[in-house]
Amino acid sequence: MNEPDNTILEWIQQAKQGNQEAFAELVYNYQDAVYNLTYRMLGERAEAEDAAQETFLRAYLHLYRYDAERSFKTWLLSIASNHCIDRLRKRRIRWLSLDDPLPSESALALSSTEPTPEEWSLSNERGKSIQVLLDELAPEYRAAVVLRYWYDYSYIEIAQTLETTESAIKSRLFRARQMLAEKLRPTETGHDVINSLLEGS
Amino acid sequence: MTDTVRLWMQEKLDGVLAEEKENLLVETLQRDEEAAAEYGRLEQIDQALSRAPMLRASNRLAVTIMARLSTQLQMAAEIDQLPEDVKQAFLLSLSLVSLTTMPMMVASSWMLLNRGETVALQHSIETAIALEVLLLRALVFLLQEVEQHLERDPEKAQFILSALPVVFAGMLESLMPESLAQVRHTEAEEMQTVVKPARRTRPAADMPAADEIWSHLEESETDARPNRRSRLEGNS
Repeated sequence: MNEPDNTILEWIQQAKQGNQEAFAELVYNYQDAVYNLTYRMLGERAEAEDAAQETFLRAYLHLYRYDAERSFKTWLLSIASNHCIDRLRKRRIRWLSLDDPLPSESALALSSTEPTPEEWSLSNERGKSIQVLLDELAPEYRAAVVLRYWYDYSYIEIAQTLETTESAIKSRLFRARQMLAEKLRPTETGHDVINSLLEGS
Repeated sequence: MTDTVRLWMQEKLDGVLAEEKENLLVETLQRDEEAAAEYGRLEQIDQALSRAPMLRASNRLAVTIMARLSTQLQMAAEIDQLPEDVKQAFLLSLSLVSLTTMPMMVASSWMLLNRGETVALQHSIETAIALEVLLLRALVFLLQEVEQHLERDPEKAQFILSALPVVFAGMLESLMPESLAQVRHTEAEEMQTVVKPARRTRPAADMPAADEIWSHLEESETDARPNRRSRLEGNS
């Protein structure tokens, strides 16, 4: 895990003292990392942006809890992951409480909003299919997969980010990959999704 | 195929499999078709996820975050600047709000555990919320009246404040006469009899629908407010 560099530490120190410009520098520096995680977790642009905003607001309010020995990025991603997991759980409760049928795969894949320039890569089938793959997973598994593949985190780094044990992360990745691999079986309905994913890549 | 082989597959994909185990895995894959097929699928998933692009945030995200932060900090600063007694009153009112929601929580839990009727539960929650909103609006209106009278006629202000519980009770009585009568009857009954298990409560249909309360609320928004105000001013 990378140690935070001096500039970042300086910004954090100033932000702790109420300097909003220093915090803005931190936001500019980490907004892509946080947004990518919230998008991959939630699968919807507007909700991902809101979750990213919420992540930074929480980070500012709890900056005094940040341990300078840890990576600031890992700390931020930890806040973002937990927030997204909470949102996904609430989303599930809302569905169940309203007795609505669960949305279809395609409805979960992406929102119907027009793709923005920064999401150009998701406007094709491959991007959608990756999101469909992620949406298949339970929130905790999804978080582990996102941190492993998009941030290249080790087991221990993922465990620290999600505040759990290394063996729990191994197990989550193990099960997540198995679930996704099951979709590759020709008899499964997910076969087409995976095929388009693999053909597009 | 054993769990150990599956674990080796995972570790191989994550690049943490020891060399000797890797050799054993290769041997297993060569002689076990099922294992080889599964590893092939895992590898495909692994490659697809590894190639997925990193998304970039929109340009306005940071600006929005800083604007929201600024608003939040400003609100917090405004609360900080309030006099100490006002802050305490604010905290007290927050506690009262929590207290008033407790019966609703208990009732909801009871209904879910004992009756499992989500429709009845939803109906009663909507009714309770509509009532609370109605009472809250009435409270805001009366407090505005109190504020107006506070300087020029403090006695009238005190009178209005002391009349609040009576006004609320009267509103409830007029909105839900049957329900309140039934509650009183049930309370009296419970005082006299031993609690019987699985006793049915009154059906949710007996309660006034939330829609009725909302419509009353809308009427009071348009009609009642000027009338009440003119009445109070006429009295003064």
